[in-house]
Amino acid sequence: MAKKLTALILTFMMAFTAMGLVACGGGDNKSDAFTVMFYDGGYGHDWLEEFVKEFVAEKKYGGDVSQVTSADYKLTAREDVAAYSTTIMKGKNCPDVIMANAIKNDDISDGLIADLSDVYNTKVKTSNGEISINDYIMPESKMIFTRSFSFGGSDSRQWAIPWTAIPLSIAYNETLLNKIEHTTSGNAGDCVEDGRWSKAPTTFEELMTCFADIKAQGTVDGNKISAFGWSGKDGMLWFESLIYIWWAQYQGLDESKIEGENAFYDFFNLDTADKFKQTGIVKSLEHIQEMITGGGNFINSYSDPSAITIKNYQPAFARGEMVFCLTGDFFAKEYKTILENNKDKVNAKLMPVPAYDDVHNENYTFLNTTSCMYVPNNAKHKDMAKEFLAFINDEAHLIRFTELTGAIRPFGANNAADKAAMKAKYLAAKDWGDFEKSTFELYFGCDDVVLAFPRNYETRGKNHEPSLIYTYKNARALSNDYWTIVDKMRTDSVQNIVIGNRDSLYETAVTYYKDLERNYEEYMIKSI
Amino acid sequence: MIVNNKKRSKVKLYLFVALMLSVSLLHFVIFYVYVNFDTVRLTFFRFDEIKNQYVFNAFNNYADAIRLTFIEGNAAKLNTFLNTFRAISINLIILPISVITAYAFYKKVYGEKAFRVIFYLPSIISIVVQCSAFLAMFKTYEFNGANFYGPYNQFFRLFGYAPEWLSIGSEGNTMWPLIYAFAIIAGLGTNVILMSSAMLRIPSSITEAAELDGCGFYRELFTITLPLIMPTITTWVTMILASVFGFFMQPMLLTEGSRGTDNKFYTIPWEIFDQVQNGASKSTIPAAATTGILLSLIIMPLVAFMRWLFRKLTPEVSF
Repeated sequence: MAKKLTALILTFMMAFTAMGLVACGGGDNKSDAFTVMFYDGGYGHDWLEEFVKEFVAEKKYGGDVSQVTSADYKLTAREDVAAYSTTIMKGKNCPDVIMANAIKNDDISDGLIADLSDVYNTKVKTSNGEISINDYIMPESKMIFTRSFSFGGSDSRQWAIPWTAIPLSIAYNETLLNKIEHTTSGNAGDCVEDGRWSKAPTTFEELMTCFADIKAQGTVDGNKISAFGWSGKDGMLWFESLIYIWWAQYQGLDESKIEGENAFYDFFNLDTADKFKQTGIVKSLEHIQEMITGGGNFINSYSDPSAITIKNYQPAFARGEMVFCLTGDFFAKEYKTILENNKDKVNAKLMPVPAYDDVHNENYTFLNTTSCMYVPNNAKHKDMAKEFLAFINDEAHLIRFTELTGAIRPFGANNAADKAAMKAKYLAAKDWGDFEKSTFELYFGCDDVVLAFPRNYETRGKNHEPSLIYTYKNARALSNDYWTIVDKMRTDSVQNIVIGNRDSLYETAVTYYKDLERNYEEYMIKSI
Repeated sequence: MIVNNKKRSKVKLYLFVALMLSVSLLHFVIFYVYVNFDTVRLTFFRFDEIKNQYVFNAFNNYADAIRLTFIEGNAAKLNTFLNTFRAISINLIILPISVITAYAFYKKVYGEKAFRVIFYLPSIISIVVQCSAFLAMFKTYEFNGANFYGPYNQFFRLFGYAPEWLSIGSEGNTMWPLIYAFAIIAGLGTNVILMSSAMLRIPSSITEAAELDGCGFYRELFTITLPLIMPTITTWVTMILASVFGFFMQPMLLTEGSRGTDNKFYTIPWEIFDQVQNGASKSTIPAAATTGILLSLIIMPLVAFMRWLFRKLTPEVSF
């Protein structure tokens, strides 16, 4: 009896194991719901739910949103959607739309992602009549998602639609700033009135003077304050706005200002590691060095940057514990509650990155442009998904997105007249706070945008491939080892860190790009 | 009739055995044979972006890995390599603690049952939760210009020791001790159970005889218990050498994902994790496979040597 019972139990166990193995493959998605898997960032997902419901209502119920039920759509939040995109798209429960903070080239090359060229040709409603998404989207954003099927190919197509373009910069607390007395000897430009800082610094020199004044004063209303919030435990993304803008201002954005060197955007057409020798890299990092280091230590910084993350300093900024910090347009939405609780001492605004100096002072805004939505080839409702991506790009939805998030999608502002018109529409959409207004100013008021992307690829005349290397290797000025560089800035010269020593960025790049240079040579031979 | 019945039951038995084994075999073939074969295969390939396929690369992946780590002496690479072996030192600290703890349980010290539960608790709590709780004990919180400290942070401050415990800076020297402390606490439970099981097998007649001969608490441990559990310890040594392959969660979670200056906290398994997980592409997979195989090539002779050494040093025990 005991033997039989044991055998029975074991058989059940085996059956369950076998069922488990079958389950590994994922069951068929029997539901007819329209599914979106999304990265839930600082903007929240109210807008996504509203748009999906509206879209489903239009497709199924003649536009009556009240008839849409939870069985009609499914939204799945997944923070690591970009990292696991391949597995997600190969599974049987593949969503119809993926909204992530990046798109993988391997997924494109493997045929997992649907070609969205037809979506880009779709016309959307605007107040100026119907316009194709191709003409409506910010050209730089379109380029980022225009790639050949594989490396160096000549068959470029569009693979994704941006769901946002995030302006990153320095936020400042106007309430605190106005209580800072100008007591040091540095140049404060015309930012000081009646001995106090009345507006945000516009040049690096003024910023340094402001930092010195904050340090000298030490407290506001009896509370200890710091000058600048940044963290050592996050990636270089948060410093990119400063580094890239100063670098572009010094180097020249599209046309080089330095004899014998390429322009800023040439860096990203990274056919050789020699591009790491651009003078602008050293110059911009020297500014960072001056901002945050002194006497072998970190200075002007909130807390100990080596021990904190962005999630430590941003709430502290929202509580009024520092005057400046690195952040983006999502800040007000993400920290809404803290900001409301501290509104007597915090009036946050996003400011343009202070100019490199009086000569290199072009008004640029840095945009992080990799966030996108795409359709898996394996999606159950592929055509519907493509329609959805077109649906959310008309003017009414762009404005509604901004209304719900405070952020702007990169559409409809490709010349000065359109910029002014769109800015007016966004401003009229809601009674905005100062932070959102400053974000709009940053977005619409700049002369040009700076991206970590080879915008000038067309001048190379090569098969519409945005970059021969960048899009496949994501060349970054500080490589991926941001913290090591920032930490070494305390004791070593930037020149050494970038070019000089054995572990410098340049030497690392030589090794890193060895294979790529070989590929590049093969590509050149092939294309001739 | 009887012969037929016998045959039928034999067939049933074979069928049963075959079915039972098939799941394990399938599992073995897919998750061991295939995975390992493919890993070794990938070390001889590189991803060609133009052809969009893996192409033969002979021993170049191995040559590159060895050159970067050992010949060119890249500081970051060398740190990553050396940090990986800290897993062994952590386990060597765990060994005496777990032997003494298990022995105390074995000898049924006062409150033994409660201690057993407490010691095993970390083994059943998610490592992410444990890390968060552990970090909170050492953190410095700034709120409205005032500092608040985690309990341990506060405790050490009473004695004038007030470092920034969680600093990843090149001069910060508290993060590795914290990683060690955490890994020891989290790893103790399983090891105590392992040692306890070995001790419980010791015939009570041996310990009773020792007690009658006047053998004290620690003398019994060193002269009776320890020699008798040596086979378990030999197996354990093999296991700790293999622990280097999985040493990444503790430093990764405690440093909140920061590798530190010149990879001060990075380990090879963490590097492999990054290469196949975060921002992975087909071109990084061969490097990850090569690193893994190289690590195996270093560890394998060590395992063989340690097993040989322990067998030489310790007597064969059977009871």
